[in-house]
Amino acid sequence: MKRQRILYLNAVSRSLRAPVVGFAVHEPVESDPPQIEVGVEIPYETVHSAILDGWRVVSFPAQRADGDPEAVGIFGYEFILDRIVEVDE
Amino acid sequence: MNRHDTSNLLSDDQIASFIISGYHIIEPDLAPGYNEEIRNSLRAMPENPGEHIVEALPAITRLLEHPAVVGTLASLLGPDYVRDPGGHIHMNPPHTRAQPWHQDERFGRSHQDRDIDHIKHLMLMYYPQDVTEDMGPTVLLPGSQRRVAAPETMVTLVNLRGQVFSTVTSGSVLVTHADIWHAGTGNRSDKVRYMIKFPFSRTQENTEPPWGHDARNIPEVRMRLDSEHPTTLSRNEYETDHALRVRTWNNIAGTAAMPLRSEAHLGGPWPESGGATTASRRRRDQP
Repeated sequence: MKRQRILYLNAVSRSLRAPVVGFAVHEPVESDPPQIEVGVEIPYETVHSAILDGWRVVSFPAQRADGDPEAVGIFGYEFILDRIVEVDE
Repeated sequence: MNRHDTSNLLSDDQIASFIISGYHIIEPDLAPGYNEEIRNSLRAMPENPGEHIVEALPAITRLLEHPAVVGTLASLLGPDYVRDPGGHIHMNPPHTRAQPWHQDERFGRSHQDRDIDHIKHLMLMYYPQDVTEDMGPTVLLPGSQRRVAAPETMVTLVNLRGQVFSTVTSGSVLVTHADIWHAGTGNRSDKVRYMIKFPFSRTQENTEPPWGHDARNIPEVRMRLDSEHPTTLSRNEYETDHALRVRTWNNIAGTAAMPLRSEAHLGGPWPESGGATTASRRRRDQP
């Protein structure tokens, strides 16, 4: 059975070449959600690197309107990628 | 301890580190057996006492009045700081999962009401046992106390570049800015991990630095506030974050305030062919 594996990548800008600062992988099987763990390495330096590895971008971060110039906001720009994988049923 | 005793105050360098990263770790020289005494008392509690920690655990007062703890709190909040109502004993039993990233809520405040350029409230976390990587250490995102973010924007965030885990020795005290992003992580060990948390607040604005200040340190402090970034920032966040760091210093330093603008960080080596044009441009030239 083919299912969608999901990868969240948070980059420091909307550019595909921007450094990635956060990630989460959601496996297409019954499982607990990903969690914060010691020693985990971010798998890709940029969203572009993930594309080269076969991931497809399915959601691009929206252009942010000018926010409060006095404040620093949420952490990174969120790209959502997927990859179709074979899963044993 | 006398809160005006200067022997355990933080230095200018430690204050700069706290402003940049939002946390400080103390290792007070507690009496032999103290941590074990606390652990035994916690194990004997039939249930969590909620915010009535001092009543249920009078020995904790010795920690809260330890000169190293008092000196740190007085340095960051001024000598007239107070312990707020609240506090909580966290018991992380074996085989748990991590909490999601969050900022602590304080009654009556929205997520937008944060002290992004000041130190008004602190959290003190005391660990009465060693905390190893597999025992569910507290995780922090340094510098995140300056971020204003709705809780729902954090729900997809999991592992972040720059996150730090408070793996500490028994008796350590982690003091954080109250608005820092943090979480308890999963305990994969067979041991219970305790942590006792207390909130503290400032009551007076400072007219002078209440820490061990020496005006000769200002250039070094300024260089650190101008150039150190605890996490990778978005391109448009650099200047804002930089300004917030300097404003935080100015809001706690009284007469030791510094000009908001500085060009000192623009100095450095000449650019190399094929790279960014100057050190200051480099951050702006990233994608």
